[in-house]
Amino acid sequence: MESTGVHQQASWAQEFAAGCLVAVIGVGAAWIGKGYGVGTLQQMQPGFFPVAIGAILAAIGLTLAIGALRRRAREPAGETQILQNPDWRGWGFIIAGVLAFLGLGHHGGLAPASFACVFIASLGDRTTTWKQALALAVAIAVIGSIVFSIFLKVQMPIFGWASL
Amino acid sequence: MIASALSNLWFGFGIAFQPHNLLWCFAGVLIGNIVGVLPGLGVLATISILLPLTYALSPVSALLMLSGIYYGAQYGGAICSILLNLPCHPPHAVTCLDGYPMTQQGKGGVALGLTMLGSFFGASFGIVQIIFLAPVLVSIALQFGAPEIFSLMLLGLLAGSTLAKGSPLKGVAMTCLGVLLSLVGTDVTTGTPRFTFGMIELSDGIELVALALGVFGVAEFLRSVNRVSPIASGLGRVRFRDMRPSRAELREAAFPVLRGTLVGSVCSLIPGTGPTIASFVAYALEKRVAKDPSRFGHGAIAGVASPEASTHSSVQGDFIPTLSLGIPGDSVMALLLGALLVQGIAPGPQLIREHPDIFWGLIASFWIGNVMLLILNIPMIGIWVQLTRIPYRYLYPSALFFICIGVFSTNNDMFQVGETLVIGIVGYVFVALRFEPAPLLLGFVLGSRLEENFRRSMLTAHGDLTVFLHRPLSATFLALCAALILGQTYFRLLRKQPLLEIPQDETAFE
Repeated sequence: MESTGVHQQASWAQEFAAGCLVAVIGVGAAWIGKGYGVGTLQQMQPGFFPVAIGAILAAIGLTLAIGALRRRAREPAGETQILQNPDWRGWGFIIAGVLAFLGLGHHGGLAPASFACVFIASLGDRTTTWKQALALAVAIAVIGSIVFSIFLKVQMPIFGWASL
Repeated sequence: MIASALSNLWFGFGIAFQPHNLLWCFAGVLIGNIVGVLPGLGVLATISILLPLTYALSPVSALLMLSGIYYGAQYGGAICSILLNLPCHPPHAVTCLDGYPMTQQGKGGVALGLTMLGSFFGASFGIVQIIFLAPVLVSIALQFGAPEIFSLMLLGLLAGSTLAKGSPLKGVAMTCLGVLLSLVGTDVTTGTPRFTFGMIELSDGIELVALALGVFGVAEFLRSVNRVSPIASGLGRVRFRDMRPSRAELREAAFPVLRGTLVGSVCSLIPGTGPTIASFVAYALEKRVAKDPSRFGHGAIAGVASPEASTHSSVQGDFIPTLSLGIPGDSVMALLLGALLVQGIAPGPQLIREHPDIFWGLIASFWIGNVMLLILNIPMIGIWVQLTRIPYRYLYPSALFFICIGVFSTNNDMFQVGETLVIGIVGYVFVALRFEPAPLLLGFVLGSRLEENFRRSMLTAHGDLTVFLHRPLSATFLALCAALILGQTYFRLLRKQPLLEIPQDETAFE
């Protein structure tokens, strides 16, 4: 949306993967929806809408995938990579940051959870130093604890080792 | 009609001037302005983060604040574009083209000053448009039955997914996916749990905040981490007295502002064409009517004033279909509608009558907010410029924390944090495959009402699908849908840009 990610047109491989993904979701939704009972237009069962939406998704997915394969025939030298410039470090640390919040929020309280979340997530950026990450994490943990636990009364203790 | 509008507006100002509403409106525009200036943090992410905090507020205050973020960010976004050549917000991408050259020529202050004045004019026009148009739409919409609502929603969803940026087919896929996600949880009519996969936590459905923060927060960070370059600019020094345009400059900007405002107000009425498209159309129009088009791109005043005015008039006009019909035109409006739903208020044509305090209070607050923004921006411009220097590497970890705690606080439930993470990761996969996330939210917010109205229509028509064609208004909406699809396919087959020719800008568009 706002950021400066590199945006070329989707490659045929991406388009193909996109089509397959949408088609699989559509077929899956329709399959599960069928289990809820479809009924008739006059007497609709809970499964009617899911099956209908699933069918539309499957059709769109197929159209995308077929279009991609036809493009492949036209541009044989096209890009085949699906993931362009993967950034495993950034992804790993951001996901780990949220997981840390999940775990520590359950078993440690707001302060350790927010510290761990911000510290770990900061390390995902390649230019951040340990010291910067530490400083930011401490600052956010302090501000977060004060604002959310004391002022906004979010139901999470600042330190809650006992709530295991 | 004018008299009743004025008395209603007077009533609205009474609501908006209540101290706590005034405070929240100020908080909204202030946060919006900050977010607008900060590169890498979007309006959608911010509104979603603050959404859980508004649950404790009254509906009026909540809506005043959240809307304030939206239009406040537009003022901030202009600063970013003009002084730093950074299209922080898609609607302002086009302002860079002439705004930054003006900064390079030492006229950045003037460009900003003109932008602020033009924006205020555009916004005011947009507000007047709401005041007079929304009641008219409402009086029509109050006669709608289930078939009309269904067809109108279909039209809104189709326009929202195909007219905006990106591939139309993928847009429709995302909309359907959003509708599918809205079906998760207990079916209202029969009580059957759907798509819950045996998880009790999902029986109430997917939380709007979890979806919005997953897609516009987590997924966005996954996409932007290590990809947002730090800002280096020595040009961004602007003082208050630099911002006063001369009389000649004002005269040069007057007509472009007027034209831009009109373009924006027209764009706001077509669902799916929000401020971004409005600003591009306004720029293209200025270039066409200019006596000397070669000046564009080298600091033409018209190239700054017109798109900015059109953005603002379109931003305010965007509220018309949302408030009067309950059908959002873009994802920001979908979020605001979600905020209303969370507050237990059913959006739709009955909103103005049943909750006049919300409608008129909100409109009055737009004016108050826009005045606040002028006061905030003109004397304090130096501070805003400083803010743009906050690097992304400090922003996203902090925002991630706010996301976690915000999602948790909606229900005091850690499950939602996990839900957000999963949605974020899956959402990123879709973004990486070049899907636009915005239609997803539209589909999600409208999905359950779409199903409900379809079921109701079928029940009363005894399963006769032609009921949608027998009722004239419903048939008109469906005809527009068909025209939209045919038009898109036609342009596709001709290998042209879909409907509107939008310049390729790698930061804002695909």
